[in-house]
Amino acid sequence: MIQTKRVWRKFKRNFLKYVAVMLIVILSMAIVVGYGNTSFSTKETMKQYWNQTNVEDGEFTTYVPLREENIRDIESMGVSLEKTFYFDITTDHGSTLRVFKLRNSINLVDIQDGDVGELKDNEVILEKLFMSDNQISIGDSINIGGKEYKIKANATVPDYCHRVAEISDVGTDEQFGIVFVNDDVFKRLQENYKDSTVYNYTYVINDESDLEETENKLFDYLYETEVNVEDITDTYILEKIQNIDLIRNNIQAGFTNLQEGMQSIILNTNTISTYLEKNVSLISNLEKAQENILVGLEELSENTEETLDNYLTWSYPNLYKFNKADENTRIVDFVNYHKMFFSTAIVAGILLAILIAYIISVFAINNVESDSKIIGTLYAMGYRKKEILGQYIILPVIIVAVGAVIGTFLGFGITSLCITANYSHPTIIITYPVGLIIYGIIMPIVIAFVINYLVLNKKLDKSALEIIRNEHKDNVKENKKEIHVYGKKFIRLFQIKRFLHEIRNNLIMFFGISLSIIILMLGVGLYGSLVHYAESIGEDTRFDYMYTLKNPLREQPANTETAYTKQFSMFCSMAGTDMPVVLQGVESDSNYFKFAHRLDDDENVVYISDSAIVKFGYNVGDKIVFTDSLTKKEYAFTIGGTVSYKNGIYFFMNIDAMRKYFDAEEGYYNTLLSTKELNDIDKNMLISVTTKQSIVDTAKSWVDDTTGTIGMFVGMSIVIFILVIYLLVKNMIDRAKYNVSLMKVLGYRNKETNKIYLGATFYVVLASLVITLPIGARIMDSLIPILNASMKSGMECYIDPVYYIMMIILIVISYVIPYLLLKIKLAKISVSEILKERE
Amino acid sequence: MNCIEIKNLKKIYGKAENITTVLNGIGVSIKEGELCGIFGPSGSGKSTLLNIVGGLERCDAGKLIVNGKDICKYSDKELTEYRRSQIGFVFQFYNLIPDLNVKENIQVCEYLSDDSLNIENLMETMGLTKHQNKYPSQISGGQQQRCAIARAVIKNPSILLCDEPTGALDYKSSKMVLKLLETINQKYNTTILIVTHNEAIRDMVHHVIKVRDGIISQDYYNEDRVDAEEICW
Repeated sequence: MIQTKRVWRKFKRNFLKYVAVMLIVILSMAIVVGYGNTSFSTKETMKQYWNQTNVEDGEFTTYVPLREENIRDIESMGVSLEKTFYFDITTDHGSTLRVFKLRNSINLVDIQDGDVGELKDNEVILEKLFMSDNQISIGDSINIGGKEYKIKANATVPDYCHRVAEISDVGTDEQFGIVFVNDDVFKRLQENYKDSTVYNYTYVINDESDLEETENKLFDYLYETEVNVEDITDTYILEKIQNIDLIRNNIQAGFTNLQEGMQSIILNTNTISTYLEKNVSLISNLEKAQENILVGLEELSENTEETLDNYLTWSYPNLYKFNKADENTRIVDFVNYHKMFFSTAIVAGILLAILIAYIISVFAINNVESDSKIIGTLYAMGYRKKEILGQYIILPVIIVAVGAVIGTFLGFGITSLCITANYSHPTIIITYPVGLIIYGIIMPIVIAFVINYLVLNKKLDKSALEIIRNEHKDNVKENKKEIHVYGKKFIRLFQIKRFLHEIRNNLIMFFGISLSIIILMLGVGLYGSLVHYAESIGEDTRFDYMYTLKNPLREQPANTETAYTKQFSMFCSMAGTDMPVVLQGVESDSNYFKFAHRLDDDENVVYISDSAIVKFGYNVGDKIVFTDSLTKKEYAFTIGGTVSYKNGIYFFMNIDAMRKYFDAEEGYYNTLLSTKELNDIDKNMLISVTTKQSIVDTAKSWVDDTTGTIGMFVGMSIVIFILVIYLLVKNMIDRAKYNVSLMKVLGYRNKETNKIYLGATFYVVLASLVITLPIGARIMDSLIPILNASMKSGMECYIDPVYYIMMIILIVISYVIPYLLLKIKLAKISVSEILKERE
Repeated sequence: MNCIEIKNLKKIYGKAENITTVLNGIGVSIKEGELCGIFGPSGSGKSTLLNIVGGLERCDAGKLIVNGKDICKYSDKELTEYRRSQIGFVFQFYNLIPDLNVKENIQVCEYLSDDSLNIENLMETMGLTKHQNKYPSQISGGQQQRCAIARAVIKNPSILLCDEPTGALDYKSSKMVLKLLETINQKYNTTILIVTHNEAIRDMVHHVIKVRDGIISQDYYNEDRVDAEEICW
């Protein structure tokens, strides 16, 4: 009990110091647990949300609506199906709204705010995030298709959690939203958008134990189902079919004429042979000729039919797209994105706990040394080492334990703040995973205990007399070799001696400062990379409008460039999953992409964008394989060059080579690039319009969305930096209090004592900067692409040189704070301290 | 010539009802080059007097004139310069810096003076040459005190203040230290003030000052002074 009182008094005497350490523990654990818990919370939230809204197992899109018999066939496989047709409408404000009717059974609309009742003909439900991005409120009106509708509620849907127009899109466009209307309104609006309606279906496999097998059966069925010509409304396709039929008919007509002609010849030949009865050999020759003609006609007939069937019969699988839910980034990206935080948080937590444990061990050692006479006396009286050890470990461990408990629960409290704002999700359910609680509370305690135990055990591993005399076993050797300093620089010598005497403290300080610099670089690196990405994406994107078409237009608009675009997937080891990639065939002398030289017209050569290089790590000369997500066919290419283009994950090809490779007809294109808006394009031909402005705005929105996180990293690093320096140098000063007082007695000026006792700290900070900045830069080069691994674009780490200067300035300013405080502390040590050292 | 002149010096500790008058109007003069002993029982005020002369504490009243300057009027900065240039201190418990060796401990004060003594010669005088690379924990108490004296003397101060310099030493070491102080006084004409409760030292000093209850009870010059070698207790 006496010893407990001592521990309590020690705490009170050094209250501020221990509170400062506890603050580091709280801050560290709060951020580590907060970010680590985002992974669990998002997963649990979405799991419950998906159950509640009956999220799809997958979805597919067809060229024409499925017939009733197709639907019956699918349902008989044990699949529940729902039509989720949609079309995109451009509003007066330039936003794009994707119009759906309310869902009945799959991907149910989850009202977040507003009226839940029946949706009337003049009412709509708007997606939540779009409303907040565009400052729209419930009760406002919105113009859709020329009519005003009242916004009754806002909602989320599980299949648009990542609210992107296409699954391959890089990021959320604030101007793209989802709107839900009732059946009648949908039918009415669809009248004007018949040709641009996307025939989308969502499905749920009834028996989950058969999920994979049933999905494969479903895919095979859909892939084998061909488009019925009667169902086609696309004029381009209909024209193609008509042309094919025309050519076929012409060939067949020509053949029929040939047949008739030949039969006529045979008939006349019979007449001729009768006339030539007298000349038997001539007759025989004529008969042979007849036979050959007949055989030839038969063979020609068979071959022609086969050839027409192979090359002049139009048939096409109805399946356009097929996406399983676990591959659909609109559904799973929210959870996958936060998975990355967990492992980073765990590693960061351990590093911070080790730092804290070492800082605390410095105090514990200080206590042991200052109590050496007492400890030695206790030993002499019969106390055991472990009893004494317990006294000196208990306080550090309690400090860490209290800080860890507060920090862990604070972390749970800030979890929702750590979740990225860019997704349309329901209210987050904060989970309290036992593993994370144990990690947040127990891990720092265990590390603090182990490190302090090892350090103090070594310190107390002496005899009673050795401790009373505060003898150092073998670390004070007769120093035969002098440290040479030139000129009258005793101060420098003393500084070096002090530094070496406190080498342990200085190394811990170095480690702590370096860790804070790494955290600072993480914040600055993320910010710099995002800003650079947003700036260069605009520079690389030389077109202002990219129109993705269903098929080529009758007439290419003036001042446009054509391109041929196909989407594939490639496995990305960094993300651990397939990534959507775009292969775009462009003109060799394109005005919109800066290639180093004319594009090779070799069919097997592609050009890789810098975004793709960051994502996949490929180089010129590497062989790559694209996979068609739908057909699972693979296409192999060699990388022939690079091009600067940061939007999405793009590869480029010579358009003619690409047409040849994919058997597209000459002149085929499905993309138009332009610097001017094209208002004359039939909206029914359009799949989507991508503007340079939306690409840039999306990239810029990431900067805004992550500002809070970046601020947290920068703030945390500064706090750790200041506290580490202050605590450790204060500790050194406390230990050297009598010596400082002695120096003042002897006549040393404050400036000189500052130089001796604080000067070395500056060099430790300098060394940390010099060593850690370049190492940190290398770490960021690898870490930032990894943190953005799930992003559908390759973002390299970019820290502008100006940011390095700003970081150095920030470090220097932050250094001034503890320096000034410690300078005051040193000045306060009076000469009377040394006078207390008398019997 | 008087090196130190003290006139009606007073020092009070505490506030209101808890006032303790440690020095109650001390007046004494010390000549340049004197070896002066200040004697008195514990709590008499002798160490406080030494601290005030050394610029470590301020008086509450009176005058302290050292080499013609009134120290009582000095600011903190001026007191630091005063200690730097004119005062050497020797403490009872040596107060060496543990992470500096013997030579470096002496160099701590060599740095402070532009007119310091030669360190090698001084170490030789102090008998420390062969111990110069050792650390305080590796030498005896007597050697530590000699190192402390060398440190105080190397900057060639005009006044050397010794607060119980033999208080922590055995007889032999104490004699050796007193001998050194005598040598320094004779060789460098340094004014030395020794505060001690060891009455035997009275016989070796020039000037005897006795302090009792904050006032000077005796102040006389030693007519029958003997060398340090000859005193015993």
